[in-house]
Amino acid sequence: MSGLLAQQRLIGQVNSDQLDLFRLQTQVSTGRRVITPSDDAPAALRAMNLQRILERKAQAQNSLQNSVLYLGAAENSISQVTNTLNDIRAAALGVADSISTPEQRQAVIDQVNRAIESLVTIGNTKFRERYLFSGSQSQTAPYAHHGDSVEYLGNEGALRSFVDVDFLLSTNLPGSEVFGGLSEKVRGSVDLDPQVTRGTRLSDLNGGAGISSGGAVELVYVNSTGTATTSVVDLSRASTIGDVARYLQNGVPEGSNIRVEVTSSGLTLTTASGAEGVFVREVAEGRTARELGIYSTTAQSVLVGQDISPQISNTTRLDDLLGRKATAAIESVGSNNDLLIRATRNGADLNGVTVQFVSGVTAGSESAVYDDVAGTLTIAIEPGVTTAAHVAHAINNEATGTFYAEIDRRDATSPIHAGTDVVELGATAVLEGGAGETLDLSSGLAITNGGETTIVDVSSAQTVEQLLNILNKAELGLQAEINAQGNGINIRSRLSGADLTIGEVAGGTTATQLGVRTLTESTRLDQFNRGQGIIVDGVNDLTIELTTLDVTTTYNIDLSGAVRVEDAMSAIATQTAGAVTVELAADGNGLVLTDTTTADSLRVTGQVAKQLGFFGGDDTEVVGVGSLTADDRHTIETDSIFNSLIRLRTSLEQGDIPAIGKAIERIDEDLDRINFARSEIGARLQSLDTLSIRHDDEQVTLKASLSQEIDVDMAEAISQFMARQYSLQASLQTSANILRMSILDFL
Amino acid sequence: MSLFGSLQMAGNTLQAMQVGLHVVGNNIANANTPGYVREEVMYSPAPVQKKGSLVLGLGVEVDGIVQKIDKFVLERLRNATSDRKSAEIQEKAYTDLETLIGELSNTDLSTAFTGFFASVDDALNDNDNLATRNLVVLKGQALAQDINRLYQRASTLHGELDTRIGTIAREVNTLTEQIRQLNLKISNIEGGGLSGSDAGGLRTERNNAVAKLAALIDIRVNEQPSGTLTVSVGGELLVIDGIRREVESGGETSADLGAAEIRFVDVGNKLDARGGELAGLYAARDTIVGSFLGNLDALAGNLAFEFNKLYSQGQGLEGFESLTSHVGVHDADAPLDAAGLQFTPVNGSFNLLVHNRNTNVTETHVIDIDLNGLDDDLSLNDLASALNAIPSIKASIDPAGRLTIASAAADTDFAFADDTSGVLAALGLNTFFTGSKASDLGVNAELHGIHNAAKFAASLGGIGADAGNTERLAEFFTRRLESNNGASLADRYEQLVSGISQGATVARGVAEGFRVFEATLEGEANALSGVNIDEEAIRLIALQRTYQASARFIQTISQLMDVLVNI
Repeated sequence: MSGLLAQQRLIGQVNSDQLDLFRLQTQVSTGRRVITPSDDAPAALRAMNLQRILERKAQAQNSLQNSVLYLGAAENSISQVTNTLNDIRAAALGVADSISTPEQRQAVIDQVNRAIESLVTIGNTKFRERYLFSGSQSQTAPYAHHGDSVEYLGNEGALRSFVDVDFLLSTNLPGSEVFGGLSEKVRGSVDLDPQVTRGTRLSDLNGGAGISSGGAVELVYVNSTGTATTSVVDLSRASTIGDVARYLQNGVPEGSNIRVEVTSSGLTLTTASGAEGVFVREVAEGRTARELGIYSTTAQSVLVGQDISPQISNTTRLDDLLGRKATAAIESVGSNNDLLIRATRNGADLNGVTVQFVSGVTAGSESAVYDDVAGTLTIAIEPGVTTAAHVAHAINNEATGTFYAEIDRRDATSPIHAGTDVVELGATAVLEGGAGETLDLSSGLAITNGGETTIVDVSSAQTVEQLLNILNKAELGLQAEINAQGNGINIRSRLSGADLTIGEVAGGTTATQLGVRTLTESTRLDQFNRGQGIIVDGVNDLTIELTTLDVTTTYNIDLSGAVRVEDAMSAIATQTAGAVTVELAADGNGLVLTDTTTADSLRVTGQVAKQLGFFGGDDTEVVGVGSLTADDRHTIETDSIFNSLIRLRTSLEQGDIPAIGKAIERIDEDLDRINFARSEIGARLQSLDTLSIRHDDEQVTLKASLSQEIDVDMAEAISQFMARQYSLQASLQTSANILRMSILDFL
Repeated sequence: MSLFGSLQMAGNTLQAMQVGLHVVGNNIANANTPGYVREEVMYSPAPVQKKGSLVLGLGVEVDGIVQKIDKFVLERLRNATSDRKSAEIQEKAYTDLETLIGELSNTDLSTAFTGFFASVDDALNDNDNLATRNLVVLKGQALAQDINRLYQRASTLHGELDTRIGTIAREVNTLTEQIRQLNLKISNIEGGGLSGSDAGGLRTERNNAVAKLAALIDIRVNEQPSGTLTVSVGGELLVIDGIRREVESGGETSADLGAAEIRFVDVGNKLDARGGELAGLYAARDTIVGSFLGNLDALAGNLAFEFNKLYSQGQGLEGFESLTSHVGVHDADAPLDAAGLQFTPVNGSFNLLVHNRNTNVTETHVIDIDLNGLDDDLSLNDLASALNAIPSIKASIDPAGRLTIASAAADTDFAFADDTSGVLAALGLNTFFTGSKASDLGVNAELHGIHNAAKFAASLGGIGADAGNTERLAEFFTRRLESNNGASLADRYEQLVSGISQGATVARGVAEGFRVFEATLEGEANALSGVNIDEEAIRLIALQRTYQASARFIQTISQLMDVLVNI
């Protein structure tokens, strides 16, 4: 035992005691057991997690309080609406009889006017920079009062907040759900059936369901002797259906010569001869082949994929709607010289057009001629010199512009060589696959939304979005949008107090093709006259009189069995034995009654005739020659408190007692809607209240857990401190004793 | 045998005892000298004399003065010191990093993260308020600065470790020189092992130098029969007898982080230390701090790119009239996924929304980002041409390879949507964060200031339409990211911090283990080689008594001589 060893031991002991004392002192003074995470790494990690959750919960609580404020403000505003409407209702009921005087009615009219103004103000309530009722467009005042109509400028969206981790709650109700403001949709009754093009995005396929990401498919090629070879093609990088076709083409089994085409409806895989076959399987229970419409279990020489119907997007081209374009591929022997040809318009009429080459010009001045009688597209070339690129240029500059040609890149040996090799004089192709019709964009739409009819010119629109933009112009008071299924467009009115009619312009077919005519052959008769329908009582229905040289032929038409407009049309044609036919107006909208007997005059009377729109007001008949045109009585109107009040005002002004009664019924419906909105807000506020209490409880639990992880147990720390203190004292004392002892003292 | 012979023998004894007393004195004097090795005099009986049939002892003889030392324990102690030193350096690096991160406090990075995302949440609550939108930008800046600062401080730590490595060469050279010189002296003094004595002080001095060297690098030491030491490290000799090899610090300095290393001057090999301070420094610099910096960089890059990928698909309350990408490409003709962008875009597309302020009409244009790897992949020039094909939009590329998009009509502005390719985030168009690393992370300057707050891309449904993008951004921190194999940014951050905590816990345990082990060995060495005063005192008394007895013997012989002389 050397002196140094004794010293070292003692110093070590004292050091360790002091360090421990210091650590305990820090624990006691900070109240934390874990000062730095490495003191207890697992506990620190749990603590970090708890701290983050606590911080997020605190933020969620903030958001929650905020949501309560917004919803509370909305509730306050709505409660005022109920009072106003109840007052109006009571006042209107007081004058809803024939004994009320014009003065009394005028007083109610004044009250209605004031109510409209005050309700517009309530609808435009702003709370903390936010319009409460304009949907997600909270910077736009939702209601604009135009005198005889009120326009809803908000949308149907909602602003949401995270009131709890992963819990988004709407903090507002759009005005359209409280006050109303958007009409029922003029539902596109037509599937616009957009075409597949090479640039169609995978996410738009299958009606917008898209293609699962990261997919792959397995191509199986069966040669003429029945031997199968396979290849797996990774499609995870594909973004468009064109990419898919290219990846598939690049990945076909070796020696198979399968061609992969994008047609207007999907994908087609073609083997080199009828004796060979191809089919496509899934890889590892995937869904990609099915989603691409090419899943098959038996080998086919031509595998025509199913229609993978893309949804309409803003950028869908209008000429890709309603039909298919005929296509063809001209293949020449060798590489870098194949061409893809596509008609520039939809329709079956270009099917069968033969594309052919003739010799006769020098390279560089190739020309293409389309002969629609013979059904040929003839391109004059210099054999052995003219390249595919020359031909494409010639076709794209053809005088009628009926065709569009592009280089087939699949045939290229490398990207820069595409289209650089000569075409073969004998190569021909026949266009096929064309179908459907082309959208009539030149005619436009006749739209009446309260007041004057506007002819909406849509000829400048090339994409769906451009068409919608034209329809959404502020002056039309419409909201046009792509429907939820992504296969058509819907139009709705934003104007309360106005009737919306959409019809054709001068025999055009735009509205019909787009499926947005307000009155069509399938319109139900009971929806006429703003839901009052056609009342057939068998007494004073519809009488058509044809008079020629003072001889009158009278037809009493019985429409009792007619449900839809088409039924009424056939009933009239049948019951007049074809003397009178009814069609939809070719200009504007409404019914047109045509005399096919060329009588001198044509007279229509009866209540049903009035209800069908042949005359209005106090008239009892309408007389004409050849044909009579009715107004569109299947107009669309907006369900809103403003609409009800404006209708009430109009009927009060006209002293139309039944209409006043109708308007009061509408106010009842409005009150129902408002009460529903109130209860919706109430329910949300209540759930927020519950959530808030839960937040508080959770916070306590979380804090307790956090404390357990990192906080110090005071009693334990202090008793440890005392113990250490004694141990240090003992150390010091024994050290002193040991060091003091020496044999020298005894010598 | 004669009286003179006896006198001579007693004289020798006196001298031998004096030597012994001197050694005891020396031991007592060095009782508190660290590293001092206790010495002991080796006595042996002097050669005998034959007188007739008698064999007479001729007294005592001093064989030599030797050190009481256990070379094996010393060797183990040196190794333990190397290990301890290495572990302590690593422990300190972890502790320093932990202090920098400051997790579990209210100033840590996770608080900055939560603060930032809470501000996004506030912007969602109050979508219409420009001040709350501006707050997102300010909180984003704070987060970016926190990350910058953390990176900077960690890289300072990296720099300090690097500098320390640089200075170690000089220390190694000084110590090896000392050992070399002492080798020579010891060899001279000890006569190449022929004398029975150890060159005590010199050996202690050399032991101390070797111990110091062992603290720096894990050396292997062999004592040659001549008393010289051979010192080697990782199979390379440092000192042999009177020769030593010089080392120097060198090494490439990468972009902004030093990478100094110690090499032999003569052959240029790296000094391959597996223990000692140097190994600890290497590990601390490269593995601990270096990988922390790398992870922090990756975290920042992940935040920037993934957040921007979502953010760039949104629209503000107003559109852009002109916008220049933050990131330039090296080659405007190369496909965008090979044009030298920090983040790589993929095959996909984005929509450019062209908005007319007068009519509030928006037109959507799809811009295909063709990066399918098959043909004609899109380059920045192609992208500019595609944008130029849109009426009322002008796109150009500056010499630095940056894309500028501008509206060409007076009342038109533009915005972006539905980017499936990540090209906007990669180019830095309509992004929130700029930069790709922890050191250069920042918030897009176009968003700075309350007058630019309206540009915050909160909407998904068009300019100023809703708050759909904010909804996505608010939960971004815990959103599962494909690029992270499903881990969220929060997970990634936690992993970064827990990696350090776990490392620190382990390093502390290891260091503590080595400390205890070293202390034990040191105790063992001290027990043998240290001076015990009591022991020395006892020896002192014994020697003194022997001396006194010898003196009395001389006196007795002297009296006998007197008797003889007086006869």
